[in-house]
Amino acid sequence: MMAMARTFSRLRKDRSGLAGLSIVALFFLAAIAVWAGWLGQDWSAADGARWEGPGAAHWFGTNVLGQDIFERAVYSVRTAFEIGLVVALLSTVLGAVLGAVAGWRGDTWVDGAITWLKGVLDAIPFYLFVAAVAFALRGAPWAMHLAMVATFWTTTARLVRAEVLKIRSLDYVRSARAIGLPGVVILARHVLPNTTHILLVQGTIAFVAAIKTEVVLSFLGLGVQDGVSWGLMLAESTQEVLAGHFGNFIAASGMLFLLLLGLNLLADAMQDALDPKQAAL
Amino acid sequence: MKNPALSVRDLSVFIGDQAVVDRVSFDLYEGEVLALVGESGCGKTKTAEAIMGLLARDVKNRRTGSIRLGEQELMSMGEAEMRRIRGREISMVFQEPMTALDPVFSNGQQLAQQFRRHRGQSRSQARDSAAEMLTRVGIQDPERIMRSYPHQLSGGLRQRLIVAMAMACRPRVLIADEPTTALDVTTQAQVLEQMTKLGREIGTAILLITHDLGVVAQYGDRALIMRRGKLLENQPVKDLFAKPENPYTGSLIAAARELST
Amino acid sequence: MKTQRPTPLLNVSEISLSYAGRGKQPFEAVRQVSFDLLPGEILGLVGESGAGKSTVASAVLRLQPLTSGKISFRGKDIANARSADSRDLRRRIQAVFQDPYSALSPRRTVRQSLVEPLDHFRMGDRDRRDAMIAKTIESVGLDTALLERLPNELSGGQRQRVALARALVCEPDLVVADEPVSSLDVPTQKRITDLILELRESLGIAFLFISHDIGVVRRLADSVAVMYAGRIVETGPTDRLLRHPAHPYTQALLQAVPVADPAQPAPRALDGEVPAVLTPASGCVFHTRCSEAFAACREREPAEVPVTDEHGTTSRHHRTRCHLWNR
Repeated sequence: MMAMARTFSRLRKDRSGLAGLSIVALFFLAAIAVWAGWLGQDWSAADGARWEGPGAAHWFGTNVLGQDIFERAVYSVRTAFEIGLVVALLSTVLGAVLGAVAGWRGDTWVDGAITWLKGVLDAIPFYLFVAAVAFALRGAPWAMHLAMVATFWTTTARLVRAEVLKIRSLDYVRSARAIGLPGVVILARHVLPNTTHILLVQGTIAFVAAIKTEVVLSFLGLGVQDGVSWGLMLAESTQEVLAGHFGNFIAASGMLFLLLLGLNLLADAMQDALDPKQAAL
Repeated sequence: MKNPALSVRDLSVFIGDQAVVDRVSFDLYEGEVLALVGESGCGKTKTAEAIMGLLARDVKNRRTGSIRLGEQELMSMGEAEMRRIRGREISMVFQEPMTALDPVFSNGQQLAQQFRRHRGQSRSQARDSAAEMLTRVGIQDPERIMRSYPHQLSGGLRQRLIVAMAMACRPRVLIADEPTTALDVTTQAQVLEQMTKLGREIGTAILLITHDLGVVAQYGDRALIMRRGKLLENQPVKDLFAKPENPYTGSLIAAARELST
Repeated sequence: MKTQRPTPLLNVSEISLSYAGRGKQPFEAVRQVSFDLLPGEILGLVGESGAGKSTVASAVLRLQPLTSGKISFRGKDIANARSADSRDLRRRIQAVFQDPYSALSPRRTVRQSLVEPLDHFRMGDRDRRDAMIAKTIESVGLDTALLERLPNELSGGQRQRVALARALVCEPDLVVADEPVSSLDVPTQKRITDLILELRESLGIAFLFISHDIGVVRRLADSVAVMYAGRIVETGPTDRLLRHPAHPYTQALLQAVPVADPAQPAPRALDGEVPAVLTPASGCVFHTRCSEAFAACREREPAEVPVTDEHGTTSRHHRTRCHLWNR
C-alpha cells in the first residue's frame, strides 16, 4: 500500500531508526533459529563444570548448575519474542477494539463503562496487579501473558478512543453514515485503518513493556516456569554476583539492553515516520 | 502633501535565493486606508511580516530595503527596539482572533491592560477607557463583554475586541491581514466599518490586506496590487477600478464582478 | 389563473430540531421550517453562521431526529421509513459536504470510494459498476486515470469533484450539498457551480444547495430560502427575491456585500448580534436588530405571508415571515 511504502522510505532516511530495525531484525532471526531448532538447544544441558569462566567450549562460561550461559541467553531470545509478540498483539487488538467502541459510542453508557474499567485498571499499581494475576493463575501456562494483556490494553484503548472521537466527526464518516452503512462496517473500513499509526507504535511499546515485566515477574518467581529467560538468568545471577561470578548477569543484561535499545529506537523512528502531521511527503 | 506615516522603499524578502517580495515601495499616510490585494501566494502577508519584523527566525529568511516609520528606520532595529514599536506605534490584526487573545484573562482585563501598559493609565482609568473603546467599535453592551472571556464571544465580537485592543494605544499604523475573511458578510460589514471609522478619527494609517476586491472598492482609499512578489499597481481606488494600468488587475476585477452579478 | 405546482420531490413541513443545552435549557436550532423541492429544482438555502442551515441538511439526511414536524420524500414520510424503503431512501438522497480535505477516506482510492455506495446498494455487477464509475467520474470533469489515486494526491477542487461523483454514482434524485464550494478558490467555485447546472440539465437531479454566499446562490438556484436564527424568514424564486427582497434581514444581507465597484453604494452594516438565546421571549426573532420594527414585532411571531410585488401581484411562491407584509 502506498502508505506503507511511504513510511518505509521515510524510515530509511532515519539512521537511528535503521539501526533499531537492524538490531530487532537480528534478534528476530535468532528467535526463529531457536524455534526451528538450529540454535540454543542445549540450554538445559548441565555438561560443564560449575561456574566455568568464558572459554572455547562455553563462550560465556557456565552457571551454578554447569549449564552453558551462552546457550541459555540465546534460547531466551525466543522466550522474549514469544512473550513480546503474544502480549503486544493481543493487548493492541483488545485496546483497539475497546477503544474504538468507546470512541464511536462516546457519551453513552458504553463509553462510560469502558472508560471506568480503564480507570480502575490504571489506578492499580502496575507490577502489583500483574504479579497478583500471575500468582492467582500460577501453574496455568498463559498466566503471565494474560496478566500483562489485562493491563496493557488500557493505553492503546485511550489513544484509539481519542482518535476515533476525532475521526467520527469528519465528513467521510458522515457520508458513510448518510448512505446507511452500519457502524461496525464504518469502524472497520474507515476508522480503524486510520489509527494504524497509533497501533503500530503502541504495539512496539507493549512489546518492550512485556519483556521488562517478565524480568520483574521472574524475580518474584512468577515468570517463565519451563524454559529460560533473561529474567530468570538475572534472578539466578543475584546470588552468583556476590560470589564474584558475573557471566549470567552480563550475558542476560547485555542481550536485554541491546534488544530493548533496538526496539526503542524503532518505536521512536516509527512514531516520527507515521506521524500524520508530517504526511505531506 | 503631508509626510507619510510609513514609508517603504525597495523592500525585498528572500527565502533562500527566491524573492517572495521583490523591491516593493509605497507610502502610507495618516488616516488613510491602503488596501494591499493579491491572490494567495503573492507575497502580501510576507510584506506585512517584514514590516513588523516578524519573519520566521530562519537562516533562510532575509529582508532588504528601507522601512521608515516617521523618522525611525525599522530595518536596522534590533528585536528589543522592535518590541517597543510593536503594539504601540504599529499594531496588527490577524484573520484568526484567538491567536491574540489569552483565554485565561477576561476581555476587560486584556483591553484595560493595553491602556495601562501603553498609555500609563491607572487601573480605574484603564477600565473606563476600555469601556469607551468598546463602544467606539460598536459594541452595545460593553460591561457584559468586559466581564466575559474570549471563548464566549462570537467571531465578529472577538475581532472587534482585537481592533479595540489594537487601537487602544493610538498607533500610527495598523496592519490588518485578512481581518474579516473568516466572518459572515454582515459581521464583516460591521467590523470593517468600525475599523476604518476609528482609523480616520484617531489618524491611524491602515494597511488592509485582502484578496476580496469588493472590500478594496468599498473601504480602501488607495490600492496596491501584488502578484508573485511584485507590486503591479499603486493607485487611488476610484482610478484603479476605472482605468487599471495592468491587465492582471483588469482580469481580477472582471472575475470579481462576474461572481456578484 | 395560478397553475398548481406539481407534486414536490421533497416536502419539509414545519420541522423543528432542538438540542439538549448545556444547562437544562433546550437549544432550538431550527424552528418551524417549511419548504418544497420539485424534481430537478435547485433550492438555495442561505444564511449566516448559526442560522441552522446545516441542521436542516442533517434532518433531510436523517442524521438527526426531528423534534416536531414532518419530512416527506416522493410522498412518503421519511421518519417512519421501514427497512426496504429506508435503504431506497438512502440511495435516492445523497450528500456532499464542505471540507474537501475530510470528504474522502484517506486510505481508500478514488475507485474504492466510488464503489462503496454501489456495493452497499447492490447496484449492478462488476462490469456494470466499472462502467457507471467511469461515466460518473468523467461527468464531473475528471480523468479515469485518477481512479487509482489516493485523496492526498488530489487538489481540493478535485477532491470535491470526487465527493460529488460519489454522490451521483448511485443515481440519486436529490443531492444535499452543504457549502460544497465555500472552501475552494474563486475560479474553482465557478467551475463546480457550472458543473452542478450541467448535471441538473442532463440528469434531472434536484439539489438542496446550502451556502452563506449569495453570489454563488444567485448563479445556481431556481429558488432561495433565507434563514435567520433557525427560521426561514423569506423564500421565493431567485430573481424575484434578490431583486425585491421583502424581509429586512434579506435586505440587510444583500446590502452588506461589498461590490467590486467604488461607484456602488457602500455596504450598510447591521447593528447588534444574533440573539444568544435562540428562543426569544416574544415576537419576531429579528426585531432587536430590525430598523423597521414596530409594536407587533415585539409581541408576536409573524406568520408566513405572500409578498405583493410592485404591480400589486401576490405570488404564492414568494413568501416572507414579517409583520410588515401582514398589515
